[in-house]
Amino acid sequence: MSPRINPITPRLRWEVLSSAELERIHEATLHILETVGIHFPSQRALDVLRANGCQVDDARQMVRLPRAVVTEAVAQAPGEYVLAGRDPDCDMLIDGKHCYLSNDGSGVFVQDPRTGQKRPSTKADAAESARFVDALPNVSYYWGPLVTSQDVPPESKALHDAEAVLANTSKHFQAVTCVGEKSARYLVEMAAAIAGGTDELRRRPIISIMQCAVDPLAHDGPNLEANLVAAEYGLASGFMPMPLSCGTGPATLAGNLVVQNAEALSGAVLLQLAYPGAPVFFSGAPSVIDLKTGGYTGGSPEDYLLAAAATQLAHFYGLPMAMGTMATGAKEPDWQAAVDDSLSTFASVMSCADMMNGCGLLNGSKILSYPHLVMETEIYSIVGRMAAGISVDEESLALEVIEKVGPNGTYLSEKHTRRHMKEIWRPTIFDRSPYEVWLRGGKQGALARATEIADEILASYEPAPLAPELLEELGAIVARADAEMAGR
Amino acid sequence: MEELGGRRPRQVMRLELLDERQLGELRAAVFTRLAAHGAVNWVEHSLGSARSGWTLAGRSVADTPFVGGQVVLAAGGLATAVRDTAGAAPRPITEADIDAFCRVADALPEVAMVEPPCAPDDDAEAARLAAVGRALTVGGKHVMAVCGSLQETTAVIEMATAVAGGGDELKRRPLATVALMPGVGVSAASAAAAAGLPCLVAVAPSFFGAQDPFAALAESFAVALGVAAALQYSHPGARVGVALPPGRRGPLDAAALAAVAAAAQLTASFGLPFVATALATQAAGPDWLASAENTYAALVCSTAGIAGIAGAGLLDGGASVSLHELVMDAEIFSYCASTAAGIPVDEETIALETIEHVGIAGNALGERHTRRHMRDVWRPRLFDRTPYEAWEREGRRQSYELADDRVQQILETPAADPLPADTAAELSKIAIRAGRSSRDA
Repeated sequence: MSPRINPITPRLRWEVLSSAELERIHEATLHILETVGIHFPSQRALDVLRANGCQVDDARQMVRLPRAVVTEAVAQAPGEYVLAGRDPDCDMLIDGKHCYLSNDGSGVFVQDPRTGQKRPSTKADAAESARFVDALPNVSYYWGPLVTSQDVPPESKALHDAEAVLANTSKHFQAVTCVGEKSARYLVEMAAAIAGGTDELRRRPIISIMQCAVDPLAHDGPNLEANLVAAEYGLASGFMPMPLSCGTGPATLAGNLVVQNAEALSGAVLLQLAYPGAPVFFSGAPSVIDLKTGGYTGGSPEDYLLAAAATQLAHFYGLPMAMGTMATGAKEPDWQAAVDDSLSTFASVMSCADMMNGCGLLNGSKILSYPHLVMETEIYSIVGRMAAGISVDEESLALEVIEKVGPNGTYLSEKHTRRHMKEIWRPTIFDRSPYEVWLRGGKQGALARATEIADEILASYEPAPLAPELLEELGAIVARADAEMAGR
Repeated sequence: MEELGGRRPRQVMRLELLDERQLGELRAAVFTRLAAHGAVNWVEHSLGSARSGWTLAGRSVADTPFVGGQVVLAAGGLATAVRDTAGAAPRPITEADIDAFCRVADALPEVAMVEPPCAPDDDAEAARLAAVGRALTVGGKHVMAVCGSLQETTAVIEMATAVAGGGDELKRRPLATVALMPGVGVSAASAAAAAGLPCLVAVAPSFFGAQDPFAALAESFAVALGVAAALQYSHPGARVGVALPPGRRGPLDAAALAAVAAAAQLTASFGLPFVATALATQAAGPDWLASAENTYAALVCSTAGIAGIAGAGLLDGGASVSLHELVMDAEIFSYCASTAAGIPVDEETIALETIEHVGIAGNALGERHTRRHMRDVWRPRLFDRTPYEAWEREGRRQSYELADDRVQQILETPAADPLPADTAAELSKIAIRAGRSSRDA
């Protein structure tokens, strides 16, 4: 039986920054936190920070964080924890040695698998996307929702998203649309219902929460409050800065890293001061502005360098990293998408990003395409093999076999070959047929094969179901949230 | 023309496939093979005088450094077919196709040297020489000439001498590199060295038959080192490097690609530059598969301390060329080389003053620091970054179509610096004469 999830354990490492450079960016970050400070627009956050020795300007909701407070707080954060799945076979050990891929999140369109047309996403799409991800071992957890429920009340949308996801996957769910204290408490209630209570949820946290930061050097109030709820219940949480060089960050990448680091670090410090020892993670999707279009690049060499460097910084503090990965700007699963996704995945894996979010969206995380998602898992698989490197020992050097085969011989029938031939990477969707066969078959390439796989999953895959009474309970919680938050 | 290599930042990041112990074991495996011939000490001693790098001269472009750690791109390879469009079947290459390939390669700033494809011919040597003649005639960049014999090498030297304007000038600015085919004797390498031309000795590990590519590498490396050492013995200080021709067993073989990175480390440990034909995708067109394969290959090579990546523009595992693939490979190379350039960290790049000045929720767009550095940001030629609606309105154009625009624009522009007609005629004569004597032999 194939494994439910398939993390990469990279042996090779790609270090973008030297130790001295990491230290220098760390020092610059501390300087910014101490002198410029961070905007924390939440009374709860301001109270926590003041009580722990930070300099708070209530009128401007500005906080200067002394270096001692920062370093002591971050030292309390655990460097290792488990993100559990409803199915224990989907548990992820977050320990700085494994890379787990998720799907991308917060898309707003679907390339309809039945009509091929682009249309706005619905709650049914969020549910279908969870079922789809559940089927793929290379996608270890569900992040998002992959596409948001746009046919429900906006005030309680995050809970409709969660209901759709939790009912359709037994993998870990990292929520990214849950903002505000109320919404977070409803989400915890839903997860606790499935886990068997809040104590059991603390023991086996089947959800975690990620929020965006506000660049440069600020947080959003409801986001802070949602993550404080997560930390209260022992659920992992983190903040994702997305500074854009030339806009919300300096044009130079080192400066961009300082801004990104200050935002991620300040969020982690707040959570540690409020709930010492709570599991936290760094996150990031730093990029640059394309000055020709004025928009987000959707993939550039700078993005991958920043991703790898930000991951090094997270590990410098002994914290896990959830890194924005893939998310090509291409509009179709084409040549451009393959360049972007290959480099992006390479950078995240070779720097050992603990969590990588993720696959499935086109056009800068806007449009869901299931065949594209399948193609991205193939790229993930290739990088996984490369990251394993080459083993060099007596067996793999095979001197005896080379001597035996000699010049112009063949290794095909050697025992050594039989022992090792299954180690060779095999494609799922790469086309390796002879040219004539490919021609006779109508020039079907990777996209055609990926579409077949996607169609098959959509038509026939069934995830492990939630008990009917739990489905009913989730529905009741969402109904209460609708009534309280959306007045329905 | 943009300055050659202007888009090629020096690589600063390294992906080291082998740790110290593994590299030691691989070297030991190579030495085991050499020891069988009693050649260990002699090889090590002779290679002591080898150069770790040199410059690539072109007829009409600035010199480019050729040294491990500053990767350059070589276009082409020994294909004998061409694909005219994305879905077209391969057809035999003509002289006009070779010219077009060399012109496109000449116009792409990412390309530092050209290994011309050649027309199919029973006499492969004559076909290769004719192609080298066209590359020297049509293009102004450094030419990589694959040679299978002493006679062929001699003809390449003659052609390069004619273009350079004499033997002394050729020694001063060698316009071609001789890439020896596996098994070619030391005499051809010696001839190239005597004329001042750099010489690449092929390692030809067989990645077929499920043999561990790593073991194959050790085996073939011993042979190549023997040739390189002999060349240093006869011509101390001769420019000699190691080349890995295409030889992958499938569309993308991660283990074979890792072996390329290992070969780069191994070559560097002997102080020699290394060139790998790593871009020979098995894809039939410039599609998603070609993109994924060549992106990995270019990135691994860019970060592995390699001196040259060859094979830009090849399809079908190196059997055919495509002008569109060449333009698209150049974009991939530029992308990967920029990634390998890393992140400079100093007072200017950390930009503390700018961060303080912009403050909270501000914008760096109007900052002087942004104006100073905004051009450092990589800009694509073939990547589409337009809004979705604009892309749809403009006919959902793909990277391939943007590449096609570039190809047409290059081919419609008259060649900037053609070789004088009499020199071009002389090159043809040399190629014909060498071909004739090769057939007679």
